Amino acid sequence: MKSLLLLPVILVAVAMPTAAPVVPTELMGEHDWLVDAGHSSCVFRVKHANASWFMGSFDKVDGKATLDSSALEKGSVALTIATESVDSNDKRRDGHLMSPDFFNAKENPEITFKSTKIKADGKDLEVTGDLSLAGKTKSITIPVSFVGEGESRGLRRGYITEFAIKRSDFGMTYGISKNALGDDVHLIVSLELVQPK
Amino acid sequence: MDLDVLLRGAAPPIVAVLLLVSLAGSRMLPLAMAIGLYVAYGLLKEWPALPHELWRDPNGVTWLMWGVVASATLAFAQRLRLLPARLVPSAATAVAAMSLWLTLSKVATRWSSVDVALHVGGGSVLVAATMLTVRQVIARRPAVSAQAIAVGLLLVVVLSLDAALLVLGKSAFLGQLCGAVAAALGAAIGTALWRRQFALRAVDGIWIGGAHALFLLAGVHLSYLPWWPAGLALAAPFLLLLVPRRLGQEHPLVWLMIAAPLVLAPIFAALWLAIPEPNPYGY
Repeated sequence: MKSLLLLPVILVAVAMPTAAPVVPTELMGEHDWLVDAGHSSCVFRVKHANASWFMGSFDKVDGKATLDSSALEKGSVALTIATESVDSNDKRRDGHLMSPDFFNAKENPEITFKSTKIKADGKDLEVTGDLSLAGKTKSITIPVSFVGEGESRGLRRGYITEFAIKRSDFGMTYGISKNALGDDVHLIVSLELVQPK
Repeated sequence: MDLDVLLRGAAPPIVAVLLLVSLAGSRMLPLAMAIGLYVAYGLLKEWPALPHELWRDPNGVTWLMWGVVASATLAFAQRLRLLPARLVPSAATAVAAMSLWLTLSKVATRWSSVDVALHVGGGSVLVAATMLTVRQVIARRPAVSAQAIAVGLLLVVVLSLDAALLVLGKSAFLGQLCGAVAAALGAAIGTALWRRQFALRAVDGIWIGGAHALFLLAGVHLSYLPWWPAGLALAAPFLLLLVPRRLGQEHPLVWLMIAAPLVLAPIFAALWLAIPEPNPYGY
């Protein structure tokens, strides 16, 4: 019996994959941009008790983009948001938001968006891409407005987007049936892209 | 208590047990619990992905649900005599290891080899040991009526308190699923009111003990249940082995009076440890 109980330890130590190695950062090309995490934000609002818009944010937004001003349609955007950086101004609630009731952060430590198609309208964009959230991936199309361009320790370019998703599409149904928390989650993502010198 | 959540989580196992156990006897209890748990998952969140879909796109809580269903299937097979009793410990160990491995497969990809061996390997041993301990506790007494009801009620309370602990560990969903398992066992005991006898077989300890250990470990690894309260609750069933064997056979009430405080004290201590600071506004 004792040897039988030790079997799982031996099997698991052999079979389970371990942490993946860190991939080195790619060399940047002429049209490659990095997301300046210190000047980029992701804010969300959701209705609480059908009474008010309750707001929160994710404090760690990162990513990169390839955007050629003369051919924006050929570009691409990839964003990563650290799920555990959710901040709802209440640590207990943050813990609940990270639990399997909502973001399931231990299994899905990152929220990602990868563009699959970009349409340009002047300097503004309409970006279609795959949003992966709480272990589910959905294709969404979002309007992205060009904000401005400047120079501060590298060339910088700003974009902002406002859009809404249904959290139930991503398996987050907690509190919907009794309207404790709304299904529609409105997001504002403001990105500052930088080409470091 | 939220009536809507209560209906979605507790009603499916209760209805399944009342139908199957009333019609075909206590041997249907593991199957009824498995059906009830599956339907409760579907009504509380969304219809769970099937195992072949989970291979491609794993989800720990869904694997956990299938793990408890697998342990119930094992018990059901033994009750139908499709599985020889001598194979139950090996089969239970395999189900325990597989269930926990799959439940933690996604989070474990970011762990070191030492953590994997400790939490997945060691955890599998713990789940298997809990299954076999609860099986042993049930086997120590006559399996029918008063004796079975005494141990059954105690295990319902244990699973219900596990559910409360999981809610305090930030996941209402895990708590609701664990509560669904408790509801199935409670409903089965309830059928003794109009049926001549209620029978709890030793092999039922496999899914009851499995649910207890798997849910608590999932609370730690998939949600935010701290280790201290989880450890206290995980240790509780092993204390039942301290109660003398003959007491359960000859004096079930005395057994219950000794066993209940022994097993419930660490779980209440766990609940006390897990209670967060009060928040007057809620959220």
